[in-house]
Amino acid sequence: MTHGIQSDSVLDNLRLELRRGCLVVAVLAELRTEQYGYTLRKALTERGVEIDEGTLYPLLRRLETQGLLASEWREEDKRNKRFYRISREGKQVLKQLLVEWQTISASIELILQESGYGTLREVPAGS
Amino acid sequence: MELLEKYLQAVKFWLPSAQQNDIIAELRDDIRSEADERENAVGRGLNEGEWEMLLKQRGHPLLVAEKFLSPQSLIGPVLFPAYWFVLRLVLACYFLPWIAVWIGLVTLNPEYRARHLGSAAAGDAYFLIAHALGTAAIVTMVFAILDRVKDKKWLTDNWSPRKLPRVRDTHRIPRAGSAFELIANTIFGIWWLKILWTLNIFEADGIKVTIPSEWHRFFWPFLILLLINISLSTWNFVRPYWTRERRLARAASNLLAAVVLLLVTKHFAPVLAAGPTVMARNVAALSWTITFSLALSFAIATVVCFTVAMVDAWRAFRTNPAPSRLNHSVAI
Repeated sequence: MTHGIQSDSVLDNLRLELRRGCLVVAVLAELRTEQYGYTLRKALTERGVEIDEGTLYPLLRRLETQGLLASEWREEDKRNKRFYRISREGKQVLKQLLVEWQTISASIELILQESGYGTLREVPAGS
Repeated sequence: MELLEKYLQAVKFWLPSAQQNDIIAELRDDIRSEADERENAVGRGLNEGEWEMLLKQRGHPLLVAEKFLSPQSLIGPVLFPAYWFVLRLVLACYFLPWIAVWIGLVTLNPEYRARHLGSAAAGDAYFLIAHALGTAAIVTMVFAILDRVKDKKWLTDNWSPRKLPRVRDTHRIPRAGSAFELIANTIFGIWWLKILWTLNIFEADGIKVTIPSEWHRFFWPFLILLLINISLSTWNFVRPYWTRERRLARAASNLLAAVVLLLVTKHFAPVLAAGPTVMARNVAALSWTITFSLALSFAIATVVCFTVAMVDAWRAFRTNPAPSRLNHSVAI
């Protein structure tokens, strides 16, 4: 029982680590079109990238501080909303991150094949 | 809506003042957007219970605020291993001698024993722990200051694998240590056996310090101990590798020493000082001081020998019965 709980928490931590970098790529890519926080979160969820507001908003602030995003407050539907979009620097960084992503993906694919797990597409979601 | 404002106020309390308004405005809009969506779904405004549920799903205000704060640590990851090492070392250096002294005093001094056992021991433990916490706080503070002011470039840039400590072979016994042990054991042992045989500790300036004849019975046990220790040191010097048998022999010798020292402690006969040129009161004070120091030393030595015996026994069971040559070659 304890072992199960422990491995669950280990898996949760590993999943969190794995997702952390992916979220940056997903957010930067999604913000090629201007959006405010709530719609961005919904758009990401619809595409299978679930992110809670406690993770999204601090991430948006961090990316803005790093100059990868730009934001402005505007009124929409009689309510003040903060709209985010990717900056020019953000676009360049995203391009580099995608190259990195492809390299890592290819390497993982190779490792999986050589170690007998098949390809990424073949690994069942539940395994 | 009152619940929302209460919630936002609670989150705001924990946020850095420079960002409070900005974060709260965005959070308010996010929560309202979600509430709007739920209201559209049910075709009416949310009631208080539904607002409560929505806010509960968002999490405790403190946890929500915490996610907006940049991660803080008193001692960063660069200095943390050194901090942890020093803290454990300092606490061990603080706790172990105090515990040994306490055990020594309780064992030897009936007056101290009467005042420091039972519930009074809790007072001693409180004193010990309070000072240990103070010591730990000072170490933590020093490292926290170092972490903020010290340039850590020397850790990341100016280092070379050549300057790192040599590979330690835990099976190897340093010959210098064995030689020192052999010489120290011989000199100290002969000096101590001479005292036990002649019952005379020292004699100078008309003052003679002696021990009663009861001490004479410990001559043979100490002689046997000395011979065992000299044999073990010589053995270690000639073949400087720990084996399970060697560690067990060392554990047995230390256990035997602990037993002998315990017997001495239990049947401790006071030291006698005498001298025609010294006043009677001074003689009594001198006798008491030497008796007390000697008794305390024996009590501490008993605890130390017993502890070392236990550590040796534990290491013996962790040692491979026959260490491979590979282990030995690592240190060469």
